[in-house]
Amino acid sequence: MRIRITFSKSGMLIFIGTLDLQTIWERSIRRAGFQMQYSLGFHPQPRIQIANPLPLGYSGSQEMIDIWLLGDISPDQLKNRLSSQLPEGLAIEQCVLVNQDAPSSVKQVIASDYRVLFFEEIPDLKSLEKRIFVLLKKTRIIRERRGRSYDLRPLIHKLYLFPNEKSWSEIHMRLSSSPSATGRPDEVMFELGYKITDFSVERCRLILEEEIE
Amino acid sequence: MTLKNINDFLRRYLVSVSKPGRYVGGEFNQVSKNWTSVDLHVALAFPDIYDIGFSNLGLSILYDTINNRTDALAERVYSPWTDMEELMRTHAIPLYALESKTPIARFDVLGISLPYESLYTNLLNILDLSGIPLHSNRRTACHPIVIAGGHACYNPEPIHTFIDAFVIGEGEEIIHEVLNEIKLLKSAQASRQIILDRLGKIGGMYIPSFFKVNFYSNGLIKNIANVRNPEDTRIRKRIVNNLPAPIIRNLVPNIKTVHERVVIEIMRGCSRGCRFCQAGMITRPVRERSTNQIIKILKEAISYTGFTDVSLLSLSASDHSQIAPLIEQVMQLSKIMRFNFSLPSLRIESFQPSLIKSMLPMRKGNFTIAPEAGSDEMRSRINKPIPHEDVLKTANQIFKMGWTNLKLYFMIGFPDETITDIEKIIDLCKQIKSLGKKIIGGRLKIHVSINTFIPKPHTPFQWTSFTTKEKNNEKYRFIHDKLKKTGIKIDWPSYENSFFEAWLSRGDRRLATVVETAWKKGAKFDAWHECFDIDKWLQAFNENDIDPNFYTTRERSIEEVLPWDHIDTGISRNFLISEFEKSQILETTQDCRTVCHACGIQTSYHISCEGIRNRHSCASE
Repeated sequence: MRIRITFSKSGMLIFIGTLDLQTIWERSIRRAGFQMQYSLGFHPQPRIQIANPLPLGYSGSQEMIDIWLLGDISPDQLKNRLSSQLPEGLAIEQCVLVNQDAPSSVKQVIASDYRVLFFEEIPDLKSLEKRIFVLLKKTRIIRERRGRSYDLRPLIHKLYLFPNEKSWSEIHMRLSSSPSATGRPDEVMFELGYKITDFSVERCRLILEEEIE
Repeated sequence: MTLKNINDFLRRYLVSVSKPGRYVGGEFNQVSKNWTSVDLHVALAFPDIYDIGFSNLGLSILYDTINNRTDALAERVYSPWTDMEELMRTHAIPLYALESKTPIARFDVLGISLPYESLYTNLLNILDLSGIPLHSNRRTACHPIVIAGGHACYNPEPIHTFIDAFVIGEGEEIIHEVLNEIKLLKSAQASRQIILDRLGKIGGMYIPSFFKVNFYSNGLIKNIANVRNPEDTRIRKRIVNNLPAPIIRNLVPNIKTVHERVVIEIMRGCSRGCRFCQAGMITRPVRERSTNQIIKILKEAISYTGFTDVSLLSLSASDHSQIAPLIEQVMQLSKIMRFNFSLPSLRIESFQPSLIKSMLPMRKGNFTIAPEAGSDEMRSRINKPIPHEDVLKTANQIFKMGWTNLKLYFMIGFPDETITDIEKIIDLCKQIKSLGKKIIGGRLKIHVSINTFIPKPHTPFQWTSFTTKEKNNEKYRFIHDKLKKTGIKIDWPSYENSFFEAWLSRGDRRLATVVETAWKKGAKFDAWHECFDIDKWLQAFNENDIDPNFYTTRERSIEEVLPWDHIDTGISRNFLISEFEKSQILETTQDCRTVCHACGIQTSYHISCEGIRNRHSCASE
């Protein structure tokens, strides 16, 4: 059976990368006493699929993972037993049964919504607003990442300042998240003139293909 | 620096260092206690990075033991890697414990694991990053009591000034005595001196400041005196008569570490008596765990951790009296519970057919055997008397069972080593290679690892000298030339690495200033090839006007007072001398399960080795 888990990743666990997170899920499932399905081949691997990797240092409130289990377990049963086996910072929001041959969530994810919070108050909001405006006006934003240059502009679907309850604002953005075209919020922030240690990022939502309005 | 500040710092800046998961804790099975709910706060440190220190068995046992007490908590700390250290120093963040992010300086006790000597500069770095004065005599009531333990502490002298108290020997029982004492005295607001005074009365605790070492002008030791309690001249190591139940709820790392597996110590001690082996001398007597207990713990540990690898730990696994049935049962369990299983440290002479048969399903990866020396003569000298034919026979069996990768361990630089001994290493490698070629064919891979022998304290070879660079490199070159065209892969450490380990393990009190000077020059992570810098150390020797060769290449006379003479392993000096003399006439000493050689362990502890070895059978079942 295949179950899709929606989960949050927060606290200090945001400093654990996706590959390590996969191992954390495998071990948690083993501890909970569920039998996983294994891939065929010379080195059988447990069948588990993280829909979209969350970059190191980001928190996520609605991340997604598909797991394949042997036997017959209700999603509620899974949620109950697995929740107590997770390390601090990982929490299951929801478990649903997914058709064995439903399309891969990796292919379904097309975009992500992010919330960017500043560690310190922004002295000049007007100027930031203007920089966002200018950035969105551009037709191309050529950036270099890991030695390859790419155009960031088409990956930005939405980008705006959002007033929050505190005295200063946060930035919300929706960026492409398909395997072939992924926009990173930190790249947008660099383009706006910030350093990696100026802000924190939360991925609020993964947007699947069928949901697009 | 408040806890909130440390957490804020981590949230904000940790993205800028490599592998930030090293610095946050939060692993499954972590114990987080309320700080104010307990009387005693112990920080347990491993002075290397998280990845290395995480799986250290000694610290895991202490973590578990202390946290099982209702009146104490234990938290962990490791050395930050250089990028994190720089970041912490830039932001004036003190070293903190992973669980609660409390600064180390606020703990009552800082316990440091020192399994090997190359961690000494990291130890100083940990103290410095914690804001704890490096020298014991500079610490005040507001600083933690700094306690060290582990195999390197069997010669504590090179770091005597940095440590308040050493635990000599096994920690499982003494830890409670130490904590009870500290708890009592802390509540009575006793001074640091009084605390150390009382700790010094616990058997196995060595308080270096209570000992005075007098030197002759030539650097030799005149005598070692206990100035506090003159009648207590020697510190006898602690042992536990029963191996305590192994840990079930091991911490499960969130990031990749060097060993991520269930480790079960199946046996402590070794009865073989190899003369070069410090572990074999200092971990006596032999104590076994029963198969039933091992299997029971294994099942529980797997289900509490979710690990997929299991390792059965001991100095010589194949000497466990139930090894063949044990392996068979673990094998069966591994299929049901889906885990991989490894068994390090098998000895060639114990390859009974039943053992080999039980290992058949493990046939993958490398097989390692350690003849240690190439010639029968040298193997007699070091008391690892495996006949040449037996080494070949074992290799033959390993190949026939289907292993294609064989790793061979040798050492060079043994006492009275001749060119013939070296030639025989080459011959043995070639013979094994041609054997394997016949059976395995082209897929055969032979890997030879050659280490330089270091005469370790508390062994029969403690009086012999460490080899010189010239002799050492000449032998390596010779082996290398002769094996070059055979396709056998050879590796060896640089002479400098072994030289370094030799002076640190054989040093006296004067080395403390050298360690400190080297650290001040930037020496740290000395166990890391990319970080180790011999020049910093040689400069440190030079500035302190000390010759490293005094500790290494110099032979010591039997009459010489050795820097570690006041540390008592329970093995008698006469036994070590007799073993040393027997080695010179190539006489061997049998496995002491067959016949007792009166090494002293039975009289020292009023025990019978026979009785203690399988004590579990009545105690724990």
